Amino acid sequence: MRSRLRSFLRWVTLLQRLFRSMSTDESCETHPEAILELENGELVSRFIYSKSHMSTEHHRPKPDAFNPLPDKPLSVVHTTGLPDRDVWEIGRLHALVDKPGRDKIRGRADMPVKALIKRNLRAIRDDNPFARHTSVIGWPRSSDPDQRKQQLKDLCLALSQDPEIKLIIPENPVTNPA
Amino acid sequence: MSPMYCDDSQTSSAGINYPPARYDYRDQPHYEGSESEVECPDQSEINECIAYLDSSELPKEPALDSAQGPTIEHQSPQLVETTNRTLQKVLNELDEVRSEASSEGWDGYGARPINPDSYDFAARFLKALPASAPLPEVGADNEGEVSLDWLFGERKALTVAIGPTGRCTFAWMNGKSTSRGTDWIKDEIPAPIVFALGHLAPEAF
Repeated sequence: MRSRLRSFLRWVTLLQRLFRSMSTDESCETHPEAILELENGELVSRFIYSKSHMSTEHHRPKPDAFNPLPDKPLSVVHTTGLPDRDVWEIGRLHALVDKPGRDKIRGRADMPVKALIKRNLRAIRDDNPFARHTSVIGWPRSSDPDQRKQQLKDLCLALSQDPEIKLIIPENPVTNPA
Repeated sequence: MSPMYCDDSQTSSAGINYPPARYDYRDQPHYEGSESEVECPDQSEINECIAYLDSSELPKEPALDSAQGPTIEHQSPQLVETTNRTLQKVLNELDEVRSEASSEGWDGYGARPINPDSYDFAARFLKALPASAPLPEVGADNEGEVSLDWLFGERKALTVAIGPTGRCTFAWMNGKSTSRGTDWIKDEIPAPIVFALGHLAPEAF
């Protein structure tokens, strides 16, 4: 009886995975370089380059800090177990590249992956374009743009207000001396 | 649960017509089941919201072009000065954000620059806020819209994105209750946003 139950639960889990990958266009199959789906207990960090994406008064990331571009994943870095200094170093070496708006890192939001998973988001470590790079996928994809915007606002507000997600501000903005 | 929309089209006794808002009190798929939805406001709550707007402390006919906001003239000179100074600070913040978000990719992730019409609507929105209302922090999103964020403490917040057509996309939370919707700036601040502010900062009203 117990083995039947176990077998049944295994099937349910497999079906859940199947439905989950079918319900989004951003499944692992579209990320051939994906090496790891991060689980509960892992930590990712989102670098913030704009002053207007964090509230220094309330020491919180603002909702817009988590807002991905339409149909794009949210870029974060897998930072489980890394000391603070190393996280900034990853930013300095790999994130401060020759792109508009990337002249300095003003802060970062440290996000436990469980805070993402409980909102039906997934963190896929793809190591592309640099080691530890991770894409957060599973964002609302309504065909109605008003509806999509509402859902994103709602979700990003929830992330910005999650007490488990912390805003970390460096003593001085991180810049690349080179 | 399928989405439930409430047509809250109302006319206050001051003659202000509130266009129907698309409240969306959907079951929140991104949240855990323990979080509750905001109930669709019943008639008494809508009346309460209208009463806010009809009270002497709120604009009878919000003048969106007025730099001072319509209620300031009813305040003491000292309060008017303080309110003007605070409003000016937020308008300056809006200018700073416009300057920061003036080029493609300004946020480091490929954001569009702020749309000038979004900026204009946001400025009108801020000037039309009741004098007693708390003022937001200003930002911009990656679609070129202006973001206004009111943060009142843990899980008590309102965020509004103002687009180039005057579309306001908002979401707010008060503890475990959450709500979101879309409305348009016409001649006044959308009633659902005043309603949200009234819930989050009742002392201000």
